[in-house]
Parts: sequence; structure tokens; C-alpha cells
Amino acid sequence: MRNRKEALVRSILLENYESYYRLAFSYVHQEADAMDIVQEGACKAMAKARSLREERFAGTWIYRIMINTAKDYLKRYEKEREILREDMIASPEQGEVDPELQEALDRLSVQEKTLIILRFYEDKPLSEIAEILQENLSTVKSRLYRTLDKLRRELT
Amino acid sequence: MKHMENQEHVKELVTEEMKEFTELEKRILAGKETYQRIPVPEEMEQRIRRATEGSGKIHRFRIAAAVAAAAVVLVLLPNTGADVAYAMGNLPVVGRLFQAVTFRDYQFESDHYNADVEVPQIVVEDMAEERTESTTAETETAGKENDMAAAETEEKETETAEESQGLQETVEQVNFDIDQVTDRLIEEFKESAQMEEGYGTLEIHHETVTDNEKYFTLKLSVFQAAASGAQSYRFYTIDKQSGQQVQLRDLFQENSDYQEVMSEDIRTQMRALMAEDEMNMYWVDSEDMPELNWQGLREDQNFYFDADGNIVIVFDEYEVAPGYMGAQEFTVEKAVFEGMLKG
Repeated sequence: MRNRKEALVRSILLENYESYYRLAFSYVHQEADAMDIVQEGACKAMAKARSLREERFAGTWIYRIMINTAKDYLKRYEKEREILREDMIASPEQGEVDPELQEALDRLSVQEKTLIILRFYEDKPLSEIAEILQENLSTVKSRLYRTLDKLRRELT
Repeated sequence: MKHMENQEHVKELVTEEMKEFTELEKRILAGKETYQRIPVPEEMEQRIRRATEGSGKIHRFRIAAAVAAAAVVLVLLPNTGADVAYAMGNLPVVGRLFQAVTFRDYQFESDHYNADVEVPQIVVEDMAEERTESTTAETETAGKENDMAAAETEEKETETAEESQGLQETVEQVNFDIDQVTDRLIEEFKESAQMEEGYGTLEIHHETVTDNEKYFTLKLSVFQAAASGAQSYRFYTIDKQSGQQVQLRDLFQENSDYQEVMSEDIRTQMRALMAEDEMNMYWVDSEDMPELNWQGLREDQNFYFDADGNIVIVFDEYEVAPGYMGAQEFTVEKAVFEGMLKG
């Protein structure tokens, strides 16, 4: 039983680590930091695989662990270097299509940014996002709406 | 009429806003390709593989160590500290000296790999034995002689034969298991060192953390690292009177709620530490992911007694906090649990 859950978590991690990495990278804009976050999240997920109650939620559960790990990480490092927040607003990277949008995205909170990324870049249905963020569907909808509204006002 | 116009106006506004939203959504979606092209370093795959395999390794070790839980070889060694303890203690003198000695070691060093392993064995000496004998035994490092000494010592046991039988078995079992666990880790290390890819470290050390009139506790610490490190600890506590190995639950009266009481004490400490410094992070009180919260002490939780008789609870990495916090120790004051201890 335990091994089955561990095997399941392991296979999901191996299948999706690139998505986790990109999500982490979009928070920290640093290869090394993003890798640390994903690795740490993976270790945590493996260590806690047994506490996973419903196997069908393993995917959203791991996402949640990754996001929480990133949050812990940001909290910790922001304390270490107050300026980090500035660093984390990416300077336009090569081939950046829409630097203005990118900047606006970087000014969002982790929560808001996660919503945008999962919805638009990872094509997750709102119901799955609600599951990942442990919110009910209507909360997620209204939060997404508010986030878009914020972006809209910033960009016009 | 007025009313109608107003409605029209609102409708227009809404439509205008909708348009802007649609534009924005399009704009965001235009960035999707850029997002998906964020390059993922090759190293990430290796690290995720190690993270997922690594945990399996730690797990295997845990099982082995849990079985390993009880070992003692009998050797004669002088221990002045314990002499003093016996002299001062007004408890029934158990009459044996416990000690952990490095039984064998393993060292390896290459460009990318290094190992520093000391394999301990627990030895128990009858206090009645001659000092001269002790000294001889101390200088012997090879294992077989120790076994011989153990057998000899045991033959000489006369008084509490039954007890020492139990103790002898306990000690042998612990030592056997320490051997097995360390052998396996060394084999794994050798295999990966032969492949010569990546980096690897294996460190195994031991320490006697408790040696009082009642208990003897050996701490075995294992640090195993590939791309990421894994630190884990095993504690072997032997009740000197019964000769049995002791787990946390064995200390307490049958129906006492020691788990709850001590867990709550530790949670309080965690909260205080988190309030003190935001860098401190423990898995406690998370509303977001309650299933990640620490579920409280296990019956076989790692522990030892400190010099003041308080219980020190030891957590491995990831057990109660994120990895960067490392392994954690919490001291639960004697006053908290004293009333629940077995007579």
C-alpha cells in the first residue's frame, strides 16, 4: 500500500518535473534556486507519500507541495535579503515577447501569479486549480477575475 | 426612457470591459510559448531522480535500523565517569559498564567520492571484572576478539543469569543490526563509487548520548549524500536493569497520554521558535496543508535522556520541518512527563 503510493508519487514527479521547474523559475528567475525548490518539494512529497489519502488527488497534491515549498523558500530568502523582491522582477530576458506584461506578472503575489500560470500557461481547468489551491471553485473564479482586473488596470 | 438609456450605458461599459479582458487574455496567452520554452537544466532530471530514489534509500535504512535496535557485545573497559555515577547512585547497582567502541572503520577518498565510516559495537563489562583485563580488551580493535571476550564475560556471569541472558541477546542483536545496516550502506557507496559518475559521501559516526544508572543510549548518525544529502539518526537505548531495548512508549505507564502531552509541548516550542525568527519553519498549524502538519510523536520516536533527566526528542530531516531546517532536536522538560513514567 505504502509502496504503491510512493511509486505513484515518484512517477508523477518524474513525469511533471519540468512543469514544476518552470513554475518555480517564474517565481525566482534563478536556475539554481528553482532547482532547489523542485528538489525540496520532491523530497517532501516522497517523505509524505504515505499521508496521501486519495490517490486520484496525487497530482494536485504534489503541485500544492511545490507551491508551498516555493512560498517557504521566498519567505526565507526575502528575510535574508530585503532587496530580493526587486531581483525577482525579471529584467527582460532574451526573446521576451511582452516585457511589459512580464513585469506586471512579476508584481503579482505568488498566489495570483500561480493562478495565471496554471490557468493560461499550464491549461489547468479551474476545478483542478481549486483543488491545488484548496479553495472552492467560486473563490478561485473571483480571485482569477480580480487578478485579471488588476493586470488590466496596470497595463492600460 | 431615462431608465432604458441608463441600462444601455451600463451595457456598453460592460462590453467595453469585456473587450479589455479578452484583449488581456489574448496577451497573456501570447506569452504561453515563451513560458513553455523556459529551459529546464539537464541537472534537474538527475536531481529529481535522486530525490525520488533517495527517499527509498532512507526508508530501507529505517527499516533495517528499526530491526537493528538492540545490540550489545560484552567487553571489559574502564569508565571512570560511570564509576562515579555508581558510587553516587543509591539505586540498586546493576554492576555493568556499557560502552560503544569503534569496531571497524572504512575510509575512502577519490576526486568525487569520500567515505568516513566508524562502525560501533556496544560492549558491556561486568564491574566485578579485573581492571587489567579491561585494559587488554580496550586495545583490541578487531571484532572477533570482542566476541570472544563477550562470550567469556558471559560465562562468568553468576548472579543475575536470567537478566544477563536477556541483556546479552539484546546487545548481540543490536550489534548485529548495526553491522548489517552499515555493511549495506558501505556496499551501496562502493557500487556508486565504482561507477565514477557524480559525487558521493557516506559518513557514519556514533556517540553515547546517555549513560546513567538506568539507561544506556547509543546514537548512530548516518549522512548519505549524492546530489542531495540525507541525514538520519538511530538511537539504541538499553534499559540496564531489564537488559531490554527501550522505545519511547516503554518509558510510560500503559494508559498515559504521553504522546499527546509531549507532542503539545513540542508544538508550543515550535510556535515560539517560529515567532522568534521568521526563518524558522515547522510543519505545525498549517491551515493550507493540514496533512503536512506533524502528526505528533510516534511510539518509537527517536529519543534520549539528557544529563538532567529531560527527554530529548530527535527528528530526522523532513519529519517536522522543511529540508533546509535539517534534523531537529527538542527537549521536553522532566516536569512535563514525570508523572506518567513507569514506577
